[in-house]
Amino acid sequence: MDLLTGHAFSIQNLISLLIGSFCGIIGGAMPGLSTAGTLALLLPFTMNMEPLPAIAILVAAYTGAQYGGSITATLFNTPGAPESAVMTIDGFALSKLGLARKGLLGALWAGLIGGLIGVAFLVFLAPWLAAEALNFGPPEFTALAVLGLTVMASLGRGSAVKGFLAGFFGMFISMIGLDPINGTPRMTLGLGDMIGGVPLIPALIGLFAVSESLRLLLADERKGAVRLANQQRVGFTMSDFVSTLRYVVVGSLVGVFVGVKPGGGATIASWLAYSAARAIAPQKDRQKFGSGALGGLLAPEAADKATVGAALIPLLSLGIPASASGAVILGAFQLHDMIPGPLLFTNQPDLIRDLFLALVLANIAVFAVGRGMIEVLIRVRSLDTGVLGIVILIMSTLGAYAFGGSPWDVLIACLLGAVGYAFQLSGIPLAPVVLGMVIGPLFEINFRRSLLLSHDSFLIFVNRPVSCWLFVLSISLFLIPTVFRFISSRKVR
Amino acid sequence: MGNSNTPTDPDRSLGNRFVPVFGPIVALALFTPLAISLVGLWQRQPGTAMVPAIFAVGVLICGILSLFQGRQAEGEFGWRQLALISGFVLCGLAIWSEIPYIAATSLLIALCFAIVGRRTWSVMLGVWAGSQILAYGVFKYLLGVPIH
Repeated sequence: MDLLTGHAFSIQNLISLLIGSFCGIIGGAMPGLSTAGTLALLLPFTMNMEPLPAIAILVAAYTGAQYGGSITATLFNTPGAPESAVMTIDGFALSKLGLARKGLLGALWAGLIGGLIGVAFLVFLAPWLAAEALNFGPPEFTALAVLGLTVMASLGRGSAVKGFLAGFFGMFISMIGLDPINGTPRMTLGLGDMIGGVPLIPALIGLFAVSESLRLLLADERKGAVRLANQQRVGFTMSDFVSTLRYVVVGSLVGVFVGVKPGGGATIASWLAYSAARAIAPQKDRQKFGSGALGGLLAPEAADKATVGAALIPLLSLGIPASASGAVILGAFQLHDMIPGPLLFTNQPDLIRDLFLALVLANIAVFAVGRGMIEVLIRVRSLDTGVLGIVILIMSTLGAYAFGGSPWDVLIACLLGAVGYAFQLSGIPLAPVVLGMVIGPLFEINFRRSLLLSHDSFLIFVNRPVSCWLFVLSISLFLIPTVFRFISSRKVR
Repeated sequence: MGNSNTPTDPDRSLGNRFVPVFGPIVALALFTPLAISLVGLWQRQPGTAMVPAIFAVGVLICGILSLFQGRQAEGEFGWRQLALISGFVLCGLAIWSEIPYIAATSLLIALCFAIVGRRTWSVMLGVWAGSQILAYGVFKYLLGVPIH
């Protein structure tokens, strides 16, 4: 009964969930605007809200954006986000057969199941991990930050160096401002505004929303009318549900295990889920993959949604975001003076409970809103990306302004938007920049505290077992893929 | 859609073979003045400068290595791109310099439409009016953001 009278079921929270779902689906459906970009644009609107509805709106938008990306992938053969790319294979094939409605309804069900499985893992694993992390001291948190560093290599889209460049760049600019130990200004170049450092939220808006809108604006193409076959009014039946349930469950589990790993991400999860679904399909169904198999659409969709709950496990329990979208949610916590990590579980258990409930409700809200929007979106035939880019660009400047009411934040968003665009042109990933901005201060403060505790002896990182194991894990995570790549390249020769 | 891998127009391009190194160059260009200021700080307070210096070395090494990686560009860079990005950064500088938001964003919207191509008057005016209503109506008067 206490659960039902909690804040999660308040009218304000329920409305936030519906608005978040709607905005997320629309943002996710916009080609070029990533999930993180959608969240970054929404973030300033949550400033004056209570903490729970503010986080709930973003969590619902996060879940909704994953589904929105699948809509355009299915209808226009145009993924709204990278993680939806795999859904173009069987989703668009279904559209060409006039079965888009069936595919999209099935994807809604798959997303609901995947999302709930992800939340279930979050509910069981996050408190356990947070309880373990309560025993962490500065050396362990330093080691955890180093573990985050190794993730940057995996985000480098084939080039570990570019991943590290982005990560170190994010860490370096996070050092601008006052020294956290003795308050000395550093790297401020004599500008008063620089003393406050580079604020995370305007930086997120610049890196994701601005750089993506610049890409949209400069894409030099207007979305032509994609004429689809007339869509039949065929729905997703109970027999479809039963026959595809195994793909959905397998996809969800893949989503959880890939999503929980920092840097794993929804894109990898959705492709792996597609492969797994194809592998477990009976011979006659396997042949349909690629030409309109429901399993080929539903498994990646379930994986995609399962990553949402999974990605929140390291964020809530350790304070380390697993993805760029997770970093935006971290920004929302910071905006409301909350620090995700083990202490959040002991200091604000009610908030955590309400947050878990809000996540369950977010999945249901996305299902309900998505169900209503399918009939509208299925009629959309064209989209002007130029105008869309201008609207997002202007919204970004406003969002940055709204964060602290300071023109300095607008300038930061503009500068980092330009940097993000240049990085994208060169194939440098943006997620490690954000990860670096989060990890940099965490590393610095704990590293220096550790050295103060040990009287400048680095042995403190080796003498403590958890810290030592985390360092070994970091080195292994960095070395193992490198060794495998080296061996496979030798074999090719 | 949203993919900038459009065919390069040689007349408008600004040496697209240099595009793959734009990112590292921008990173190193922003890094340099900050790193120089760090050198002075190191002499006064090495403890304060230690961790930023570690990251600075990381940026420098990875930035230089990225310059030599020479991978394929993921888009083109021509006069349109240069004009839009310069205009956008100037808009940010203008707002920072306390030039009224309405003036800075109106010019930015005009520049954007000049770059993406003219649309109908109703669309162009709608985008402009919508942005100003959102800024002054919603953000300034309803949410209390001090937009000047």
